[in-house]
Parts: sequence; structure tokens; C-alpha cells
Amino acid sequence: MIHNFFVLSPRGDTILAKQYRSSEMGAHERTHTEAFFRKIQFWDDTKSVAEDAEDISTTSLENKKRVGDAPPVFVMPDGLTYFHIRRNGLVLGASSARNVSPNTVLELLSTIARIFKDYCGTLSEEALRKNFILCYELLDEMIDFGYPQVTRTENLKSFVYNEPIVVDSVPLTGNMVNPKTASAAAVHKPVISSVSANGRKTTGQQNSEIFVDILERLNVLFSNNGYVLNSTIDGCIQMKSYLAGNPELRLALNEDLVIGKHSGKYGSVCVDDMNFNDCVNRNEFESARTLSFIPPDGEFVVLNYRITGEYPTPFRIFPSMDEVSPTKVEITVLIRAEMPSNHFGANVLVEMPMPQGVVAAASCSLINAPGTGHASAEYVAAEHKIVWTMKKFPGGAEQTMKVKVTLNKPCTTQIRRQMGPINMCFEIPMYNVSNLQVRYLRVAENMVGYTPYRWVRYVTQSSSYVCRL
Amino acid sequence: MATPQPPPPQQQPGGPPGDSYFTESRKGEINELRNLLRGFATERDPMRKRDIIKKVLAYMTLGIDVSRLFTEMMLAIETRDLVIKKMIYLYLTNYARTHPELAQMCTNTLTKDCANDDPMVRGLALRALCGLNLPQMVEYISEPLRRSLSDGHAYVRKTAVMGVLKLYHLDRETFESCGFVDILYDMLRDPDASVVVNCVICLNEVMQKSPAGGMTINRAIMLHLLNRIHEFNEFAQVQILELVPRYIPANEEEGYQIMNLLDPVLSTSGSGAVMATVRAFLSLADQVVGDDEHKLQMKRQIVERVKPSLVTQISSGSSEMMYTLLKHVETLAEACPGVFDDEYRQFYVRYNEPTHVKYLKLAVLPRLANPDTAPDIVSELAECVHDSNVKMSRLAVRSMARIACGGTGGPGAAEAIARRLLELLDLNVEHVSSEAASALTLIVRKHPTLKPMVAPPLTRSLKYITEPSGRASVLYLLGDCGDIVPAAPYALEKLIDSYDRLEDAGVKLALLTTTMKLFLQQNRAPEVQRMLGRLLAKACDDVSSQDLHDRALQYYRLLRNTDLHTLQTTIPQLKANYIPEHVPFAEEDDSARQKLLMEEFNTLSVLYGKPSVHFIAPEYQVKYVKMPAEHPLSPGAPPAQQLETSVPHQEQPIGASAPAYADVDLLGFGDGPSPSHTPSVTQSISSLSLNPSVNLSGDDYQSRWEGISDNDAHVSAIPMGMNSITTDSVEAALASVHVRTIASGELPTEFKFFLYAQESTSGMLFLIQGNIEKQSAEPLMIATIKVTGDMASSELINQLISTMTTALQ
Repeated sequence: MIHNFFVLSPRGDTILAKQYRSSEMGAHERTHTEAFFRKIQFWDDTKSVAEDAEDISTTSLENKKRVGDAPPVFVMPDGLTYFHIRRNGLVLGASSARNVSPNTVLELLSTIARIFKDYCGTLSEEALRKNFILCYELLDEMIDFGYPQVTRTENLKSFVYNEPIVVDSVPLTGNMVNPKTASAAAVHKPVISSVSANGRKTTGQQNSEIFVDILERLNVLFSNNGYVLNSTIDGCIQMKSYLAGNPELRLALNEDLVIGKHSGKYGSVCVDDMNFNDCVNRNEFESARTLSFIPPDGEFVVLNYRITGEYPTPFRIFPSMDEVSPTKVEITVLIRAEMPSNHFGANVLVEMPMPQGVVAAASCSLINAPGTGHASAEYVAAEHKIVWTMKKFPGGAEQTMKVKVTLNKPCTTQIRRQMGPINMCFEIPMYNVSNLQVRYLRVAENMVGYTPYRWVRYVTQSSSYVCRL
Repeated sequence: MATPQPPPPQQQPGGPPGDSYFTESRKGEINELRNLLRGFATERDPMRKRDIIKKVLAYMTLGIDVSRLFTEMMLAIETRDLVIKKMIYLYLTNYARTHPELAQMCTNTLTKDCANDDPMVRGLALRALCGLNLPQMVEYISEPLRRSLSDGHAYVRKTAVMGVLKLYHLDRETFESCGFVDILYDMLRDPDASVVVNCVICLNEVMQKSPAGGMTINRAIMLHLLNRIHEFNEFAQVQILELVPRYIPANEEEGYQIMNLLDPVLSTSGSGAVMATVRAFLSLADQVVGDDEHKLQMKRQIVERVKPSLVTQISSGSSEMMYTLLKHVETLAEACPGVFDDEYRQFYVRYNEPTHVKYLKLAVLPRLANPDTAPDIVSELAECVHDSNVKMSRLAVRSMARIACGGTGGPGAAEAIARRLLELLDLNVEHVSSEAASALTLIVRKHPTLKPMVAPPLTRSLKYITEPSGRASVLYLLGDCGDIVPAAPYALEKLIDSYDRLEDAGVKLALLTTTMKLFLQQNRAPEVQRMLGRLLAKACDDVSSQDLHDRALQYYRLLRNTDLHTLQTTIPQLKANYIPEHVPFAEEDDSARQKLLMEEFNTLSVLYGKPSVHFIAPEYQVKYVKMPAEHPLSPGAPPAQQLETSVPHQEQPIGASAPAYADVDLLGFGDGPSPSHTPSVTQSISSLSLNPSVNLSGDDYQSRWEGISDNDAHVSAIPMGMNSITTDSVEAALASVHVRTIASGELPTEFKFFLYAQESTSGMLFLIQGNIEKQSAEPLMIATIKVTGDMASSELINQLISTMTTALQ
């Protein structure tokens, strides 16, 4: 199915590479990955692949610039189709000369990424470099002659003999700083039980624990008068299991959960569609909304769901724009947190793009509600946008930002159009919008003295939370 | 797991600290490694032993040539530590290709390991042995391979099956002579799912160049695999599901049964399996009886069914997955318009998506337009026009034009869109205005009634649009709306006077054509005549573009030889009548391409938007062939597994013929095998000679038939040349080539024959069941052939088939 597999570092160095089918061209495999990396690094949207084929070798790299993002699947001049995914800055890629199913190959790449993470604890350049023997061992069992073989963490355990060298996890960039909201994905512990998170060998008893996240990503689009144009929730329940003995678990959801938009039933939670990990037994799902499964080792998604339609948006955004004089514009953005006051938005970031080349100066002032953590707003000239950050945004509160923009030429419709849209990033710990609840999670059979630690968390995050100006 | 040992940190002798494998390579590093390796045998601590080998591999993966250490490394292969063994195997396979003579030295160790007690070691050694990729090793490979195929441990068997595939690529002759194909077909019934799927993979690849375009599947195999579908892991499921499109179900009922069986796969979270299921469903829909309309209806129902799963996949997957899924949704939306319409909001561009996903969404949105959704979609697109990403705003404008031209937006949509585009034209942003102009030309082509609305800003916009494509579009529009724009000639005149400053040939061409168009309009000729003359003079002298030069000359000659009045009256009539709504432009009609894409659904073809012949090298192309609609399990016959095993292979005495297939509604048993006919037919084939005096009893026939698995049956279709088909005529014809009939019968819809023949030299028996459909215009005998003995060579079978074909002409 695939001809080779490789992992490249963020700088383009080959970390792992494996050739499954020998290529007739006889060129060294590294030259291919180098050409490939150059291609994705200096991807140019404006050109078609064909015309790019000639110029990749001719033009020097200095005057090339990346325009847009490289699609995950494209043909290279060597006639092979290259697939790649990016995870934590690493590029996992594969190539094939056959007319394969692109989804399957990409699915395979992400499975490999997940398994590397399960075994190494973290997925980073350092972790892979230190554990390269382990990774090759895993790869050998996962792919033979280009075809996927064993692709489940727990099944691989019996074939893998190397032990991971644990590296310190890189502090995750961006939104995942608050330990309360860190997801199961942030648990950096290899699945091989004899090694604990800090790299020491544990002796004897290990903690039996399972991490459960109900994660909801919100996509909301507001019009400039605060009206919701489009809203969806992409939710999932993900777990990371370190349970000894892999007992069967039972997970119960809301009893009045309704699946299907047009099913004509009513319930407190109505999802459009749901899909399940294939380890999940759904026999009792129709009647009792209960799932049973033997959790596979490592990280896995139990189910994904999708909700469209009306739901209470946790934040509402009301922008307004005034043209004070031909060259001066005043923008006021009011944000109201509409969730209950015992919840709060964390790591809130509001961005507002400004037109390029016409903003002479912009000054921001804030009106903060009490209880807000550190907040600041400024105009970042290099990125042409206004950035407003708040550590904490309590429920029920209101925040206002006033921006005075001075332009170096009179404001036209076009300039006005280039302001905005306002994009908001946030996360709300222990809160979910859809009301989907885990009624209980328990070990199916009653085992005396077996009480695993269950860490159940609800997290709501913004995915694309946008308000037009 | 191995006993936990503290990782040896700094106190390592002769080596840098444990994890700095990747230090700069210095001169003498290799020698240092060699010294380390020499100490390997005396080293006691297994962890340190591992570290030594690890260091070598670290250099290897960095691309540093450590092949000089081959001999030393091979000495270390005799170890019980699997970690070390694996590492050395890795080293071995890496350097085998460049150092074949060295690799050959370790054959012994590897073959010995292939018989190790530990299945893990057996599997590893076998994989390494086959992975050496050395043609000279073939003789050492085939025997361990054959043994491992019947190993007691599934891990070894599954590795062996992949080994067979490696052998196939290494040496086809050995592969053929070992008869692995038949063994693999047998192994499809292996209790272990991973072995089964590897067999499928291997057979598919080995037989991809055969006329069947992959492994031959019959009903028994297909149903056997599908019934076990839930035992397979996600990737294995994909392999099995990819067989379904090549299978034709026995009847509609079976098609539905397969769909029901596969339905749960749709709600799993792996997009690969979901997409493979979608493709399987679509191909099953193609098999339903009925006209095209009915099939389309069926397809729509299927797409409707898979829609929620697909949309969930799109929203829950990573951006990479989203990209491929969107492409497929685009194709589906094209094939079944309207189905995805109500989910249009899911395809709105989101703030944080990579650009390739955004572009795709913009391309999908116009496909979801219907009178209800169009206003929302258009205003969403209008917002995207103002995006700071240039390509995105261009695409948004194009998508708007597409809705207007597609006629899907309902009444008034085209006008509303044209109005928006006119606003954009005046926006005075280079790329937006230019793109809007191009979009307007399309709309005016389609909806000429909008001309009065489009006309006013044209002369104005010609001044500020500088992008060549946009300018050319405005010029085109000026020509089209020439009769209602009074100032048109004067706008052109300015351009003509500055002709030398025009650079783009496209703009010049458009200018030439537009001026010509104006000239030919009633009452405009006097105004335009002089400037046209100047333009023609310039253009005829212009050598920068061949097209321009030629067209100018052509116009010039036309004007010189024809009088103006004739031109003015004939040209407008020649002009094609405007295209009615709902008819796409000729250049956009790609139903043929779309049909090809649907056939190659869930492959790269959909992503690249072209059939695979255009981008896949010939040696990797696989023809998509449906298996013949045959069913070796005759409907009433009990499944093969429940019956007694085969009788020993020996000559049978002539016995009384018992009604073997009494439970089948089959009539008229022939009264025993008929005596041999005159061997009048000259044997046209040299190697296949059939025994003219063979005889077989009905019982014997049945037990032999059931003794051979359906999986081993060969199926082929034999064209019938006879005018009138009766059981007698067919029997007689076949008897003349020594193919005997044991029973035959006439069913309401088909004839059934139970035939056999014997190879005279080896005594091998061919058992044949043939069905001839009555209604068919070109009658075909679907023959299911089973062969006794292990010498079942496809060569002989092909010869038998051709003998029968000649006989039946």
C-alpha cells in the first residue's frame, strides 16, 4: 500500500525512515524526503502542481515564500503520491505509487503517530530520537512490506521488547496551560507498565487509573449584531487507560439522549450523529444509552458526536464601529459571558485583524469586570492585528475593549471591510454546552478491592468562534 | 516484559553517555565502534550489550555507512535477547541490498532461526529472510516459507504470507513453481483474521495483472469474508471491503443483506473503513435491477444514509482527514445533487483551518445551493471575498458565479449575485475586481437579460482594473453589451492609442475582438471604423503573439473581401443562441469524467479529479474488473464444510448412478455416462489430451465435487455459438471433445450441466458445473471448474476451456 514511511523533524531532518518497496530510480531515499520537505515548506498555493514541478529545482530557496498550506496528499515530480500529517511539529509521511485510498493511508499515519505517543509517552523530536530503536521495532510490527499489520496498542505489547526512555514533556504551547483543563492527551506516560511518567521503573503495584475527557469544540459564527449565523459542536469522549488487567467498563450517558436531527423525539440532549470506536459494544445503547467496552491501552476516542442547531453560546460578542473622522475609527467590542457564574473562561484570547499598510496607530483601552485575571490589549503591528488576552473571564461578567484606530488615509469601504472578523479562543473547564453527561463509568464486573482512579473532566474549547465586524 | 534494569548512565566504558547516540561523526568513530563490538562477546550486562548495538544503529539511521562492521554485527546475531536480535535484523535488511555477498553469510543463522521454538523468533527470522531482497537467496527462502505457512502460530503464518508476496516480487518463476496461490486460497479459511487479510492482500497484488484485476472472488469467498468482517481490525476491514465492488451479488436480496451486514461499519470512527463501506454500497447500488433512473434513486438513498457519518467524520477528524473527506463529499454532491444541501452550514469556512481545507469548502458550497440555501451561501461567500488571503477571495467570487450559472439558486438568484459582483467590481481591489469581471462574463453568457444591469460600470472599470484577465473580461463584456453602452468606442480608443503599452496578449486579443464586434453592430460602424483600422494595422505588425497576428490578419481579410452590410446581418444570426438555463456550458459538462471518478471512488483519483491512468505509472495500474456473476454454490446445495471430505484419488469402477442432487430441483439425470463417441475431433491442443473412455458415477462425482473447496474452483464464461440450445445438443457437442455429461437439466430460466473430463496422462479429473441462461441474447455458459489432484495448473484449465469453447461454437 505504501512504498516508504518517514518522520521528519520540524527542520526537515529525517528522524525515522523506512523503505518498503525499492524504487527503480535508484536514488537515495533521503533525497526524496528532502525534496518533499522543501515542497511542503515552500508550498505555493497560487501555482498548480505541474508548473511547480519544473521550478522546484531551478529557483533558489531564498526568494521562495510559503503561501498557504500544503495539502496532505499530492504528487511529487518522481511520480509518487506523498501523504503527510503534522503532529507536534513533526511531519509523518509516506509515499505510494498505487491508486490507494487516501483516507486509509492518512488514517494509518495518524495511527502510527498515536502509537508512538502511547509507547514513548510524548510525541516529540527528542522522544523519537531517543527511542528510535523502539520506534523501528513498533514500525516493523505495524507495517510489513507496506501493508498495515498490528495497529492496536495492546496487541503490539506482546511483540515489543524495548523499553521507552522517557523524555521531559515539552510544555504544550498555547491554550493548554491550565492543569485543570489539560486533556487526557496531556498525560505523558508510556503504556508499558514498568515505566512511570518520571522515567523511573516502578516496582510492583502501579496505579490503576483512567482519564476520561468529555471535550467539546465550539464553532460559532456571529453576525455583527450578535445574531448567531451558524453554530455546531464537535464533541468527543476520549480516554486514556492505565487500568491493570484491562477490565470491561460500562459507560452510561444521559438516558434521554436523542440521536438524529429528524428523529422527531425530544430529549435534553439531541445530537445529529455519533460514531464509535470499534471496541465499543453498542448492544445496550439503544435501550439504556449504556456502552460497554474493554478499553484498549493508551489514548483512544470512545465516541465522536456532532450537534448543530441552537445551543446557549457561552460568550456573546457585540462589536460596534464608529467613524469619528475620515481617518479615525473607533471600535468597541463588548463580550458577555453567558454561562453560570461558577464557571469561567480561561486563557481567553481575542484577535481582530486590521487592514495592512493603512493603520498609523491604534490604542486600546479596557473596561474590566471584577474577578478578571490579568488582562491586556494591544495592537501588534507586525501581524496587523489587535490582540486582547484575559487569564480568566468569570461567568455572568461583561468585558469591553475600546480601540481607537488612526489611519494614514481616509477610510473607505474596502478598508472597513478588511477590519475583522473578531476571533475568540478560550476554554471553559468543567463545563459543557451540550449537556451530554457521563452518568457513570464503572467496571462491569464487581471486583472486590478493585477501585481504579477515574478522572472525569468536561472541557469546552473554542474551535472557530468568530464574530463579523 | 524483560526484567526492569536501571538504564546504564554515565559509567559506561568506552562509550559516551547512554543517550547521546547522535553525536557528530568524527573520523575513527567506526573504528571505535568496531572495538566496542569486539568486546561484545565478553560483555556480561545485557543492557550494555544492547547499547553497543544501538550505537551502531544510531549511526546507520543517521545515514552514516556502518556496513564495514558487517562481520562483527553478524557475530552478535547468536543471542537470546530479542531486542538485540531485532536490531541486528534491522541492520541486516538495511545493508543486504548493498552488500549481498555479506548478507548471504548469515543465511544459515536465519534459516535455523526459522525453526526456532519461539514463534516470535521464527516470525522475525522469516521476515528478515524474506526482507533481504536478494534474488540469489530465493532457493533458501521458498522452503522455510512453505513450512511456515502451516506453522502452528498465527504470527508466523501471517508473516509467511507477506513473505510469499516478497518472494513474488523477487522471483516470479519460483513463486509460480511453488504453487503458492492455491495454498493462499486455502488459507483464506484460517482461524486467525490477520492471516486471512494478509492472504487477501497477497492474492490481490499477485493477481492484479490477471484478467480478473485482483484475486478471483466467488460467492463462497465473499460471503465467508464478509461474515467475519467484525473480527478484522480497521485496516483489514478496508482490504476486505475493497473486494466488494468487484463482486456481483447473486440477487438483489443478497445485495441488501451485504449492506445490512456492513451498516455498523459506518458508525465506526475510522474514516478509512467508512469510506470503503461507502464505495461498497455505491457499487452494490449499481447492481440493482432496473433502469438508470432507479439506480440513481438507489444511489441517492445510499448517499442520504451515509451522509451523517461523513459529516461527523469531517468535523471530528484532523485537518488532513478533512481534506480528503471533503473531496469525496464534493464528488458525491456532484453525483447526487441535493443530498448534502441541508448540511450546508457544516461547509462554512472556519477561522482556524488550513488553506487547502478552506479552498475546498469554497468549492463545495456552490454545489449545495438550492433556492432555500442559496441566499445564505451567497452571503457567506460574499464575506469570504474580503478575506486577506487572495486566493480565497478569488475562489469565493468564482463560487458565486457558479451558483448564478448553475441555475440551482432559484429565480432571481443570478440577478442578486450579479448585483453583488457589480459591487465587487467597483471595490477597487485589484484581484477582487478582476475576478468579479471574469465572473460577470460567465453570468452574462448564461443570462443575457442581465446585460443592462452589467453595462453601466464597464467603461469606468476598464480604467482601474489592471490585471490582464480582468481587463480581458471587461473588454469581452463591452463587446457583448456594445449596443447599450454608448461610450464603448471611446473607452476602446484610449486603449488602442496606447496599444504599445499593452503587454498581455490576452488583453490585446480581447481588444481586437471587441472592437470588431462593435464595428459589426448596426449604426456603430462609422464611429469604430477608424480606430479598427489603426488597431488592425498595429496588430498585424505585432509579432509578440502568433494568435494575435493571425486573428488580426483573418479579420482584415474578412473585411476586405466581404461587404459590411452582409457581415452586419449574418454575424448576429450566426451567434449561438444563448444557452438555456439548466444546461451547463459545454466546457463544464464533465459527466464522463464524473462517471470514471465514481468508479474509482475512495482512491486518489477523486483527490486529483482525474482517472488513475493519468497519474499512476502503468506497472501499478490495476484494472477494475467485476467478477463474473457466478455462483458455484448452487442455491439448494448444502454448504461444503458440512459434507464429508474428499474420497481418495483413484480410478472408480462404473457404478450405478444415484440421483446425486436430489434436493436440487434439477431434472432428467442422464441414464449413466454414455459410452465413448467416435473420437472424430482432431485434438487441436498438444499438451491437454482428454481421456476418451473416462467414466464416473454420480455418487463419485458428487463426493469429489464436494471434496474440493469452492475457493479453489475456477470460474469462466464460455460463449455459446449454437443457434438453438437444448441439453442434447450441448451434451453432444461436448462429448465430441471428450467432455462427459453426468447429468443435465432444464430449469425455467436456465440449463444446468454437470460435466467432467479426464486428462489422459496424469489421470487428473476436471469436474465442471455449467449454467446457461435461457433469456440471454448472447448465451454464455458459466462454467465452474474444479480439478482433482494438486496439479491444478491454470494452464491446463485454460486449455480445457478453449477446447470447450471450440466445441460449443
